[in-house]
Amino acid sequence: MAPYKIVLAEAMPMCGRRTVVSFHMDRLYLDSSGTAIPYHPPLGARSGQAAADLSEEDFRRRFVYA
Amino acid sequence: MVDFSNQPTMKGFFAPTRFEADVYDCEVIGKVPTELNGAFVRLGGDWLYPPKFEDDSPFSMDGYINMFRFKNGIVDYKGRWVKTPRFKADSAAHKQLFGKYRNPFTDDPSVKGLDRSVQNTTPLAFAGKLCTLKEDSLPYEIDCNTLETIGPYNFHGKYKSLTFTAHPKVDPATGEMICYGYEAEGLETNDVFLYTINKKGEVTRELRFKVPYVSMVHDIGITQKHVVIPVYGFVSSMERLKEGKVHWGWDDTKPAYVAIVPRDGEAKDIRWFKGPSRATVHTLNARTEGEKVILEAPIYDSNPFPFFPPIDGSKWDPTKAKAYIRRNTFDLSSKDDGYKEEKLFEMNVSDLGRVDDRYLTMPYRYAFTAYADKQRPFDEWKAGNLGGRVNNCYGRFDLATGKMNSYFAGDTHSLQEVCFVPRKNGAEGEGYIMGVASNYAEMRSELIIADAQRLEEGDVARVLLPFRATAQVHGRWMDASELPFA
Repeated sequence: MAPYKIVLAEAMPMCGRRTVVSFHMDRLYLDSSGTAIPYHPPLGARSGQAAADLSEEDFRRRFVYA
Repeated sequence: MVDFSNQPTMKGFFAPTRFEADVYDCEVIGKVPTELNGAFVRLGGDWLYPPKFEDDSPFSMDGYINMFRFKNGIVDYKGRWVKTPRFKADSAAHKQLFGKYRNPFTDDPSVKGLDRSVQNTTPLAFAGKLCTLKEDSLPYEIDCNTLETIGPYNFHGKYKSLTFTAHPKVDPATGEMICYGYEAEGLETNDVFLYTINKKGEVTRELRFKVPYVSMVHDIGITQKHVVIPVYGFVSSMERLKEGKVHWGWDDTKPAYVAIVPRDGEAKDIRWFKGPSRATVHTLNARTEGEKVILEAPIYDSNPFPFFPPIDGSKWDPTKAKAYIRRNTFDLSSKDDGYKEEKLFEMNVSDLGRVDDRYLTMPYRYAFTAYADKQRPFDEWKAGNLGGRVNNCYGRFDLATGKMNSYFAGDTHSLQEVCFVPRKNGAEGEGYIMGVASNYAEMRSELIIADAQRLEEGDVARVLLPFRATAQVHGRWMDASELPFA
C-alpha cells in the first residue's frame, strides 16, 4: 500500500495541506502532500528532548554529569 | 503527595526513577568476558522528593548505590537507596525537609542537628568493606551483597575528622589508603586532617593543617613521597550560609593553591604553590621525579558548576567551564611559589578521568575519559535534540605520544564516567573499559564493556537494563578478591 500512497501524494496538488514528518520503509521523511500519517515517536523515544532546549547554563545546572 | 510536575527538566530520560531494583541474569548483547569476577559499583543520586529550592545543586540528590555483579559471564543488577538519617527523615515526613547544598540554615527546623549527608558521590572498597563517600560526612558502610545501609564508619574511632573525602587514594605499592577530610572540625573551618590507613583499615598516621581559605578540596594526587592537594576558587563562609545560599560560590580573584605534603612529613614541611585561577576538581595521577612533583589532571579553566555561582554577581561563563588534560610541575628546589602548567591535549574532555590504578604514584602512559565528538552522528529523531551536548565517546589518551584512541557509543547514546578494569597480570592499559550509557531512543541504560586496547572495534558486550539507571557521579570496579561477595 505504502508505495502507491507516495505516488498518489506526489501527484496531488498542495491545497494548503499540512506538512508532516512521516515514516516509510524504516525511514523518516518530510511529507508535504497532506495525505501521509504523521509519525509520533513511541513512548520513551526521544527521551533526551526534555533537556534539548535548555541554555548551556541550565543544561549544566541540571545534568552536570549526565 | 509527591509532585515533580513543577520541575520542567525532570522529564523524559531525566525524570526521577525513585525505585529499588533487582534484575537477575541481565540481557546482554555480545559476550561478557568470563575473566571478570567482581562488581561494577556505581554511586549517584536521585530525588526521593523534589528539591526544596529551585536553585539548589544536583549534588543534593539522595544517594543511590547500584551494582552490576559479574560472575562466570553472568551479570546481575541491584540498586538501593543509601538509607541515611536524612533519607529516613524525609521518608517519614513524605517531603523534602532539607534545604540547599550543605547549608543547614535552610533546613526545616524539625531536622536540626541531624546528619544531612546524602552519600551520593563515590563507592569505596577498602579493608574488606564497601562504603559510600560524600565529602561532607563520614563514610557510610554498605552490605556488599544486599546493598543495604549499615551506617557511618570511622575506622575504629581513630579517624577524627568529621568529614571524609570522596577521593581517597590507595597506594598500589603498600596497599595504604591516603585520605582526608576538609572542614574537618566542622562547618566553615579551614582545617584539613590527612590520614594514612593501612590495608587492615587501621589509622597509622594523622596530619593536621590549615588551607589558605575554606574551599572545596575534592580530590588529591599521591606520589611515592608526596600528597598533592589542589585548592581552588570555590569559597564559603558562615555569613554566606546564613544568607540562605548554597555552600559554595566562585571567587575568580582567588589564585589556585596546591599543597605538596611529604607523606612522612609534618605540617611545617608543607610547601604551598600558587597559580592562576583554575578548578582541579578531579585528578588523574601524580609522581615525584627527583625534586619535581608532577600532577596530571583534567583541569577546568574556571568554574565548572553554574549552581555554585560567581560571588561577584556576574554570569557563569560556559566558555571557561571546559576541562583540558594538563600537567602541573612543582619544583621543590625553586625559591618562588609558582609552578609550570602545560596543556597536553587541545580537546576539552570530561573531568571524570581514570588511569590504570595499579600505576598510581608511578610513571604511566594512559588516561581514559569521556568526551563529546560533534563530528559523530546523533539521531535527533530517535533520541531528542541533544547532538553535540553529551559525551558520546570514551578516549584512551596516550600521554607518551599524544595520540588518542576512541570508542563511540552510538548515535542515540551519551556516556557517563568511564572506569578501567585491568586484566590480572596484564601490562598497563591491558583490560577493559566500563561505563554506563544512556540510550535516549530506548529510554534505558546500558553497561558498556570494551577492550581498552581495541576501542575502535566497539564494545565486546552491552548489559541492558530494562529501565533508566540513576545518574552516576562515580563508579568503581571492585574485584571479587576485595569484598566478601556471596
